[in-house]
Amino acid sequence: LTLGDATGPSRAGDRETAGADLVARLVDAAKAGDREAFGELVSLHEAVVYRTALAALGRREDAEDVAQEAFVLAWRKLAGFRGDATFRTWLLAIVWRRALDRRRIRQRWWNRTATAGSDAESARVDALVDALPGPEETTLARDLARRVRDEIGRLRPKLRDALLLATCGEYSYGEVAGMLRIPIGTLKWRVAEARRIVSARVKS
Amino acid sequence: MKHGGERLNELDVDDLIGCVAREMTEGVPAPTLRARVIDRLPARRSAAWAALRLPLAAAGVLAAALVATAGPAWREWMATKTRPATVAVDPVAAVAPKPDTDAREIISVEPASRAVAGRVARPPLPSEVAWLERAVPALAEVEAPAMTDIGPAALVVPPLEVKPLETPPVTSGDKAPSP
Repeated sequence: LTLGDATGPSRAGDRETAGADLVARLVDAAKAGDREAFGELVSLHEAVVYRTALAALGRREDAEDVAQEAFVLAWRKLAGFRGDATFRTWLLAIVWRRALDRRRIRQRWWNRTATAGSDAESARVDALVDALPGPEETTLARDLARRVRDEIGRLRPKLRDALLLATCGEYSYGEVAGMLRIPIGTLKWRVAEARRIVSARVKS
Repeated sequence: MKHGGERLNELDVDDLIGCVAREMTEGVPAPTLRARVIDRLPARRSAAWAALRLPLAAAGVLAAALVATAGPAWREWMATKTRPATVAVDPVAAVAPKPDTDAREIISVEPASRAVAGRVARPPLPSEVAWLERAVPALAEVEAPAMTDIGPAALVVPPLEVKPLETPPVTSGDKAPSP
């Protein structure tokens, strides 16, 4: 079973269905003890699992550890996966709980200073800032971006988690609400409140 | 920074929040993650074991419940199966046996439970009769221990007398003690 098995249909809906079928077959094989099938599941989901852990922990080293632990835990619990939700939703719930456990244990969970501002991660801000007319505006915009980052870091965890998960573009609102175990309406309010607070602090 | 915000009118702060938030969760795990996960996977029990686990657990619970409910009756039944017959001794006769009474009159062989109620009582063996003849008088000779009064005598506390302190009056020649 490989990813190539799912690359037949051209339409997005068909591809999605084929992807779901592939995951279902991989899950069944992994349940039977097939490590390679589980390895394929790891490859398919490692990015989203890693980003989920990173949203909760803020440190890439911790996110890597938690992603690894979450996959091992998923392997152990795989027999209990009944398919009521998608494998991805089930896996995200595992990694989110694991990440929160790590965050509670380690009190220094929001120390982003060493990792968040690296060059590789600033591509989005760079693209936004480079469109500005002059070097002075560019410098100011970069300073503004740093302040936004700091203010997001100062948010209460409930607001920050909602903002980061909902904004990163990796999950639907339903998935984020499921991870946080809150209604979608509450999630939307938290995201809006987080944006309002950060914006007010940056402009003040 | 207010002036900066005004000058950066082309840059919407809300867009910037979205950009920074995405940037904060961006990244890819190390390429070795999959291999590390596979290395750490514990051995999975076979599917047959997984299928048997629930029935075995149910059987265990059932067995525990049976032991809890039928245990006493089972032990009683086993006791009746392993010993010849229960010899019940009349407590009154045991405490004060008649010296000239035949042993067959002071013992009665009775079934120990309803399970053996229908069985015919057999006469006691000579060895049992001999044991009873030795044991019953010995029990009767045991005297009750006499209790003596061990209460301690009451403590006598003499009345405490307090005399008022007498201090001589301070005169002009007295000095305060040096520190």
